[in-house]
Order: sequence, then C-alpha cells, then structure tokens
Amino acid sequence: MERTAALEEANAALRAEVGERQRVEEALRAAEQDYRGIFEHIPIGIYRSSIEGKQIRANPALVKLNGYSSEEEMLPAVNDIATEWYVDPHRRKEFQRVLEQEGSVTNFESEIYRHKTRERIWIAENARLVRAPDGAPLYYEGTVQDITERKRAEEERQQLQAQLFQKQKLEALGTLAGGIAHDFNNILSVISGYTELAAGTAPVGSLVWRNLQRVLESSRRAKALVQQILAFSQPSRGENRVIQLQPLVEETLQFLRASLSKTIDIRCELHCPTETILADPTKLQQVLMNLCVNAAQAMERSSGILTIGLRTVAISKTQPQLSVILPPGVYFELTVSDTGCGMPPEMIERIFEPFFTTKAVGEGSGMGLAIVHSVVHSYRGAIAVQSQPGQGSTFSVYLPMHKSALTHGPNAARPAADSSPASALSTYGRKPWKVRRQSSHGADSGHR
Amino acid sequence: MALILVIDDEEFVRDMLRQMLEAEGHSVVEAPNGAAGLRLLREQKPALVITDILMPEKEGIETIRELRKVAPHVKIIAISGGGRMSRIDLLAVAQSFGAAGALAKPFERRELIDTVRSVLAQ
Repeated sequence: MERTAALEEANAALRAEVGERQRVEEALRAAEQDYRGIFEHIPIGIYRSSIEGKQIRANPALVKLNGYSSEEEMLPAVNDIATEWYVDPHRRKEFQRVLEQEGSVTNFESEIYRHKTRERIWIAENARLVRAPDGAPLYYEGTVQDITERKRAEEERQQLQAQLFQKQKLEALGTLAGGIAHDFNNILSVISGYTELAAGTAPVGSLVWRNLQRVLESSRRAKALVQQILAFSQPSRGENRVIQLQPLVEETLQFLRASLSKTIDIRCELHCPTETILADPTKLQQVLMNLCVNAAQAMERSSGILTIGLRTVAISKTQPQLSVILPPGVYFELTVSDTGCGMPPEMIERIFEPFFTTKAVGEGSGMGLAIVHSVVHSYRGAIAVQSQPGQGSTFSVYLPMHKSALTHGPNAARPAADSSPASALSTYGRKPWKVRRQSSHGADSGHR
Repeated sequence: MALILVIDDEEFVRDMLRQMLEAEGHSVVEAPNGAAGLRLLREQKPALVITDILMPEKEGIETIRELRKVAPHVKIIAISGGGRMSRIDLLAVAQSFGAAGALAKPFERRELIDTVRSVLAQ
C-alpha cells in the first residue's frame, strides 16, 4: 500500500513536471513567434554579420534593401562587406573602430551600394559588438535604415543655400563695381583729357608726345575694362524685342568660325528654327561669344571639339533642382560644350565672380563669365555648369521662351526627357552641376 | 564761336573741358553745381550748356529740367560717368528732357568737339 501511494505521488510529480515543461515550451514557441514576427515584418533592416565581413543573418527588409528576394539568395553573395557594400571602404573601418572602442554605434551614416543592383543609397546603422565570455569579439548585430530621401533633401537645401549666398555675393559685388566704375570714369576722363591737352602742345613724334600717347592708350584700355564692369553690374536694359534665337546663334557662330583657331572643330546641334525670345540680341550674342571664347581658350593647348546646342525644354515641378530656380515653363536650353581642360569643383564655385581669372596677367579681365551670369539673370534665366578636370566643360543656359512661340511652329516644346537638365542633375552625381539664377554680356571671361 | 556753360562738380573736369573748348575758339563759363549753373544761365545767356547728369548736389536730370524752364531754347549736352546709366540710357534720358546730345565719360577730345559742333549747328 505504501509503495502504491509512493508511486502515485511520483507519477503526479512527473505529470506536473511534464505539464510545466509543456507550458514553458509553449511560452517559448509563442515568444519565438513573437520575435520572429518582428524580425520578419519590421520595415527596418536587421542583421548579424561576422567580424571578417560575411553576412550571417538578414531579415526580409535588409534583403529587399540590398535588391535580393530571399535571405538564402543574399547570404552567399556577400563576401566582404567593407568593399562590396560601403562606397568608401574606410567607412567600414571607422564603423569597426567605434564598435571596438564603445561596444555600440548609433545613427552611423554611410553611403552604400544596394548589393545586388549597385545603386547608391544612404543608410543609418545602429549596431553592437557581441563578445564571448572571455571578451573575444564574436559578431556584429544591428539595424539598417534607408535615409536616402532625407540626405537628398539635405543636399538640395545646402545647394540652394549656397546658390542664394552666391547670388547675394554677386549682387553686392555688382553694386560695388557699379559705384567704383562711376568714380573711375570721372577720374579716367580727367587723365585722358589732360593727356590729350598735353600731347597737343608737344611736337608730334617727340619723346614727350610718344610717352603721352602711351598714357592715352592705357586710358583706352582702362575705359574698356570699366565698360565691362558696368555691363556686369547693370541689369539688362538695351532694346528688348521678340527675335528668333536660332538665326542669331547661327550668325554668331559664323563670326566665331572666322575668329577662333582652325584647330577647333565647331559642331552645331540646333533644333529651334522658329521659336522666339524677348531679349536684346546684342546681349545674347555676347553671352554666346563669351562662352565660346572661353571654351576655345580651354582647348588652346591642343585641338578640340566645340559643340553648340539649342533646344527647348519644359521645366516642371518634377525636376526639383531646376524648378526651384526657374518658374515652371518652356525654356531655351543653349549649351556650349568643349573637350578642353575642364575645371575642379572649387574653381566652378568661383567662375561667375567678377575678376576671377586663371589666365595670365593681361590675358583676361575675369569679367566675361560674370557678364554672362548678369545677362542670363536679367532675363530671368539660369546657368548650369558641368565640368571635371581633363574632361571638358558644358555650360547650359536656360532662357524663357517668348509665349507667342508656344502656339505655333513645328518644334513645339518637348518635355525634358532622359537627357533633361533635371535628370542630368541627378545623374552626374554629387554636385557637378552648379545652377544659378542669373543675369548681361562681355568679351573675355577669364576662367580656366 | 559760342559761349558755353560747363556744369560739373569736378573741378578738373570743368578745367579740362574749358581748355579743350577754348582751344576751338569758344568762350567758357563754369559752375560747380546746378544752382550756380542756373544763375550763370540767367546772367550770361550761353548758347550751349554741357552738364553732368549725376552730380551729388542737384541731380542732373533735375538740372536739365530747370535749365529748360529758364531758357527753353538753350542747347544742352548731357555728360555722365555712367555708374548707374549705360550710354544708351543716358542718351535716351537726355533726349527725353530735351538735351540735344550726350557724352559718356571718359570721352575723347575729338568726340567732345564733334558733339559740340553738331549740336551748335542744329
């Protein structure tokens, strides 16, 4: 009897233990399902990766972010996170250094490639370093969030701020230059006037007469320079009238062919035979002349190709960068491209400033592009520059088309397609395009 | 040969113009501002006035308007340093207020003499 009672007691304890174990297992299953649900469905990438750079685990959000359809497809494809994932592999080293020192990182921002498609995006990581009981590093685990949209918005805002600052700087310089020019003209008229009077009293051909002629010649050069400064500082006045732009471009090019070096191959891609613009033709000619002379000077050490393009583009709100600068509408896009020496970004920043020149003393006043800027701005247009050292430059001038031209002509405005300014703006990467709303005219320009 | 009134706030400009004009046989009276110029216009009755249109004391355009009131038929040549006005603007403004000619500084002696000659011949 006693033995039976003991057995029943043991059985009851065993049943209780089995029941308890079942409850624990059930709770574990529920918890795992719970966590797995989070891992599978959270829209943030979650990973575990080895110290050496292999991917150990990736949740569906991270798999999708990398362009893959499953974890099984992605994990074997990743061999070295540092070189395959980070645009700048040093970023991985920095990530590892912080984890080694701090144990975790938060909001660690990097530009990466979607692993499968190689498309560049920006991400923010939160991660920790997991160590063995003896302290040896085991692996990293963390989250990845796509912040590309935010980074692009930030970059756009920075660009706009830089453009606004540049515009204000140029306006201030213009006001200053205009004021100086007025006083300078007064002084020059006194210098040249008295020199003429003095020369009139000296025997023609004498040393005094010859010296005074040199003063006069220098005064004329100073006068030409002041006129360039005034052309930059004054808003476009002149005689605005409705003209067809393409014939004006063709006429200017005829003149340029005669005056530029024969080693330069001039090519034209003009597609606006009838469209019109409201502007002063002499100022527009000066814009084109200045850009072409500049382009030719960028190619002077060797032969090269100068390409002049003219087409119409429709600027709409879908092209963020240009539409911020230009009101939506139909514009002429006049491009001047060369195969010359090109410019580094720090030079592009400054080329529209008056007196900025890279030419030797006496070879350029540094006013040419400042005047281009001033003219384009006065017609409520914009100018964009794309250039890289050794790969030539392209200046794109946007000028509003005259409205009457919208209603007729075989070459009605086409919406900007793949090669539109906006797509070019995003295609060429970081900040190769500097777009500014501008302004008037000039002879040489001085950059490069 | 004519009596010419020169109005400019810069002494050197006035003196230079005087020398150039006298060398051509003209007589010259000078005024450093619009008010003094108007007085000389009343007193001396010159055939021609050469006036700067951007003088600090009395804006040149106003000077031309008042010269016109005092002597409706006097011939006027406007000159300007062009700090705020291009040559085209200067001509347009000067003509709209009845100036017969305009010169943008710095001008050469030949331009001055030719302009004076043609305005006096009108």
